[in-house]
Amino acid sequence: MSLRLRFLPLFMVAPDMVLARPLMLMEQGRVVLNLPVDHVLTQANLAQLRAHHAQYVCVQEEDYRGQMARECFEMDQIKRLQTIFYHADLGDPETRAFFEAVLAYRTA
Amino acid sequence: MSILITPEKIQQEVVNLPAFPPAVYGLLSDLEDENAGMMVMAQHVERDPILAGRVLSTANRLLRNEGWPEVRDVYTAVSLIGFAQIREIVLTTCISGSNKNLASQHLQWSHSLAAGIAAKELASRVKCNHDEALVAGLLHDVGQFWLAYVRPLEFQQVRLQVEVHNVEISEAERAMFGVDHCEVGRIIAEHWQLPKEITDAIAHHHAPADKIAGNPIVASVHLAEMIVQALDLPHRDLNYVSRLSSIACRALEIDWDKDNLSLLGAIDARYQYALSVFP
Repeated sequence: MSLRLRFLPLFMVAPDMVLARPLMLMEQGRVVLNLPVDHVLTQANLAQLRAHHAQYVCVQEEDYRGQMARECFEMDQIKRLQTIFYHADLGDPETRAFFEAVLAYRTA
Repeated sequence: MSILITPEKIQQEVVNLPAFPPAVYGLLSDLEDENAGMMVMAQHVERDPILAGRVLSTANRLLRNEGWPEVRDVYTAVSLIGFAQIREIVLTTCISGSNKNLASQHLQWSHSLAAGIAAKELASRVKCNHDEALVAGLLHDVGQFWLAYVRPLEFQQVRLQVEVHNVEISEAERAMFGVDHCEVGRIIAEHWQLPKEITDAIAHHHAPADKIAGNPIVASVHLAEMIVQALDLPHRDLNYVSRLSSIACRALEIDWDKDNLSLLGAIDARYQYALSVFP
């Protein structure tokens, strides 16, 4: 089973979700909370995140979609981005890289 | 049929706009000092009872989301929410009041909110004044709000041109009005005597000229505009990306060939968070 990344606002985060990226919160130049990748969030962690005014976290979740559903989703994302970038010059390396970065995020 | 709007005409009509919220001027200058205390900000807010009520209402919505009890004064709200977030709430609340009077559609305001959040996120990564970036992002389409407000029928025709014929919005506006929303926004920002960097960011958010694209506030708002349209924050048929300024990308130290999932994810999640606080 593959994993998907999700960047969630704090009010959508629940206990037992698993961190996909390290989480480090700083206040006035000091580290006040430091959690590693693959850490399973607990109720106490969520209270800490709220207390330190975190706004979002990056979690990983299992991707239950089949291969075909994933490919269809990716095609939809490409089509949508082609519409959004209709006026852009995708031959320009910077614009092309931006397009690819957005596609990578939308299909992550 | 086009209906030309001259800069003189805009200047004449702009005086009829609601006054720019005076609290923002004071906040922008006082908050430039990161250490400016909660007392200073609370004083600005409490001078205006309507603003104070709206700030508290917004703060309480956020507190309810996070399971905190409601508060009745700005000082307690700062203690629970944190000074940085209260600054964002105060500035966004001030500006949403005046913008919402002009914005005919909720989606338009949501787009401005997304651009403000994204500009702040981008600016904070290069340690420039992220409060100014937030304000500039929130106001970047004020010219479009104004055109839709004073010339609603003609502006609808502009939207049709964009949707049906795939014309760029600025091009369709220039064909209809002789000016585009960036130029109208510049005149409004000058009328409101906003700081020059904010005015420049509003005037050049679609295609900043090379000589000013390196300014971090201008760069933040330009890239914010491109990113939120590309991510569909919010989804609108009108979302489009045209010209991405390389100079702006360099000014913000962004290399699109590297992994930018964290940057895009932060903007996406912060926007969802902001939507729950500023519906």
